[in-house]
Amino acid sequence: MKPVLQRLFAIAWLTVKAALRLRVVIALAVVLLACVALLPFFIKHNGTARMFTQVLLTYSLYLCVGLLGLASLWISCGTHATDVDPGQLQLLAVKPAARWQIWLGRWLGIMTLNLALLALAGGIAYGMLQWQARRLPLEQQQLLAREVLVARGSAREPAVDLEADVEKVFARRQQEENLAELDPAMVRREIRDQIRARQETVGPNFRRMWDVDLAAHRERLAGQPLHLRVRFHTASLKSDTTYQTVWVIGNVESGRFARIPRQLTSMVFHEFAIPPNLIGPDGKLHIECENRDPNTLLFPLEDGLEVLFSEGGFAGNYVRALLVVACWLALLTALGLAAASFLSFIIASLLAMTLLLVVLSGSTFGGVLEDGTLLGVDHETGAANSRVLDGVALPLYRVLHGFTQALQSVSPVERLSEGRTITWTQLGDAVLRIILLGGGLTAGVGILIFSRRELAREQVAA
Amino acid sequence: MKTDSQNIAADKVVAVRGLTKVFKDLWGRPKARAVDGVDFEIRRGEVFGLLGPNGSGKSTTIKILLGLLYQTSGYVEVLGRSPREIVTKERIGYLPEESYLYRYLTAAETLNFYGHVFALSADDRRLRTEQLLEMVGLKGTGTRRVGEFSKGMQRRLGLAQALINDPELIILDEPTAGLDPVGCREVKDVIQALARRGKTIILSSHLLADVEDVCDRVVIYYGGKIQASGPLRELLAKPDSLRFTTPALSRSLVEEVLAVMRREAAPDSVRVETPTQNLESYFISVVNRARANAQNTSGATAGNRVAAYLQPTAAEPSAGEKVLERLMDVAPLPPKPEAAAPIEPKPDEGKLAALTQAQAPVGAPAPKSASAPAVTDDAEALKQAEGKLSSFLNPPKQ
Repeated sequence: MKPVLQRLFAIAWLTVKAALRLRVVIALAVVLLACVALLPFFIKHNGTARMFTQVLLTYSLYLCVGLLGLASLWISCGTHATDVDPGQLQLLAVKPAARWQIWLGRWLGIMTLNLALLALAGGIAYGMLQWQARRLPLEQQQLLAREVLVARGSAREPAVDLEADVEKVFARRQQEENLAELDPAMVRREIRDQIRARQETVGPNFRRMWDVDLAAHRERLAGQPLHLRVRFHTASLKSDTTYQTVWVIGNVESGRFARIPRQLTSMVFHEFAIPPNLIGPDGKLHIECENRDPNTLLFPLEDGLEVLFSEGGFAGNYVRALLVVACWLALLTALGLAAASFLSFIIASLLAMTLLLVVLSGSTFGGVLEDGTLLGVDHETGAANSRVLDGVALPLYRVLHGFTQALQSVSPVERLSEGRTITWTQLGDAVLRIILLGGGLTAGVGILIFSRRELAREQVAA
Repeated sequence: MKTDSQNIAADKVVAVRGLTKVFKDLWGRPKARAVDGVDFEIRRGEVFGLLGPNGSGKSTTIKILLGLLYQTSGYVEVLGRSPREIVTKERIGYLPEESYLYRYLTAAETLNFYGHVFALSADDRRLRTEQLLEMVGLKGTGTRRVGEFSKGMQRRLGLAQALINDPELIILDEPTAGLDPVGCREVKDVIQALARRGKTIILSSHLLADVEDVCDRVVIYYGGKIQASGPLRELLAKPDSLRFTTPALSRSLVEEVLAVMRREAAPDSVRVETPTQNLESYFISVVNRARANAQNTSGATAGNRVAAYLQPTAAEPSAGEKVLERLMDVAPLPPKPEAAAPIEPKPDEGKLAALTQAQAPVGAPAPKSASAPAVTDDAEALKQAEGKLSSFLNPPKQ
């Protein structure tokens, strides 16, 4: 074995041994197993097997992610910082192990623990899920197999580029009206909202049509039932009000179509099966929604309608989801080690937690940047409430938003609970973004600081 | 052909010139000047002592030599390179002032781990672990966790890990701290044995007896500066005085000798004292006797000879080496207590009589061994000797 690898593995082995001998892993494994095993008895749901399974899956995985994520931060900060403070690291640093080897060896050790614990907790959660599913009536089991415990692909209507229409309308209005005193960005925003609303809304007794391209999957989907996943909003915020809709899927003229009336509530996603073989000869699935309600319905462009179809088994999808979780654990471990490379255990833990919150606050940064101000605007004057604060905060938010956006990848828990496929491409993307980009940058900074750090303390007579 | 200066340069293991270390606070303001313009060189095979009170700059100097601290200014070269280079670290062994061992590892795992860090093969790691544990007296404790060890046992294991790579330069920071007298003696014996095998040793200590026993050359620190330096014999020698050590003599003979001496030197500069052995030697003789009587201890045992791989070749040591080993080993366990009894030198009455006639030589420094008293375990003989000396040193008034 090459000396570099021998050193890396030795340090990784030391890290694993420390966690085992100090009973950290055992305590963590017991907590994880207890939580995952007891979770089904504390879950509240709407009584359907589908919802119960989705909630169980979501909670189990979030529990694993949360506990292991925090444990990763804590162990990485603890292992590294508590080796520096009492001096153990001095003894290692005077040996021919480069600082980057010590850093990377620790990362490998903690990741070995993480993967072992993730496999254990994930395995137990999977077993619990299957055990619970097998206790259901056959019909419910089949429903779960079709909608949750499956890997499904999805297709949507191609995204509409609104900007060309916005510019056209803006130019026309500039000619027709005096817009000189108005903020052009605000005018464009209003125009964009109007165009968007026209495309999203379906008035009473009107219909909305979608054409979803399934040409790439046509042969594979022959004879297979598909699922529609729909969501709409209404002016009413009552969650229990239902709205009468009629769904026409397929080509009416050719006679190959299905007509499905549905009473649906607003705001939540609804899934229902549609018969097979309704895809047209051009590979497109034509869908219409007739609004038979006196209220207007609004189908969001992003997720108003989606066609779902079976692509593979649940087990493979589950493993890929766990691997995406492992990517995040790798980043958190790097974050903890980087913080502990120059700070004491407590301070490093606090810093790592803060950085974690920053990473999780990506949507907040996005919202602030979209609004263009931190404390909102004065609605009378249209000016920002705090220009000074905005001047400082917005550039910082822009950087943080850019960083968090770069780390955005597939959400494994959400996709798994919806029975959606996590593709190998998405897993590769997660590895690239989270481990190589996020983890690489974090590791680079951590190793640089650690390499320059003096590991001994001063001992000078007063 | 190498010139003398090239040979000297090749022999130079450590070179420190104008070394200064200033510790700074969070804002970069100077807080303490730990080492201040220090210069010294250490040559191959030397046992070099860094002496000084606590906080005088010894440990800071050592940590700079190890690359754990970075000098503010000055030049440091260890084994011809920067101390921060990996190739330099491959040739150094370090025993820190405190036990920085991993408490959750066993003794054998500790040595195995550091063996891995030095990229040793599995066979080498196993062999060296066995030999080192035996050498430092921890044979049989290899499967015990370091956290269960006493401070002295941790110190021994610390010494073992410092030697796992068969280093050329061994840096020992307070190597005898926390050790019992037997352990201290063993560590000092190991240091001497390693030095005789060409290893260069830097010893930092504030225990002067340790340094005196093993060091060839020392520097004395105070306030971050070197206050004195040089070969130990030169620093400690008193060339204007002599010391004789003899067996107990008759009072009349002593009076005769004194009379002769007082003819040459001022009467108050000639003294007769009862020599005493130092406490360490006495303690070790007592422990050795106890061992011979098979009294067991649950702690560390006596260290054995220096690990075979630390010798110049792995082959059978030469006859000379064997003698050297025997000389440097802690006194081996004798089958009978009597074996530990020293050989009492017999007074040569003729020579002593001649001495009373002849002029005493002056100028030659007393050999180091002359100051090391022989050990006797014969209580009766000791009692008699004490009585004789007592009456000799305090003669009844006439």
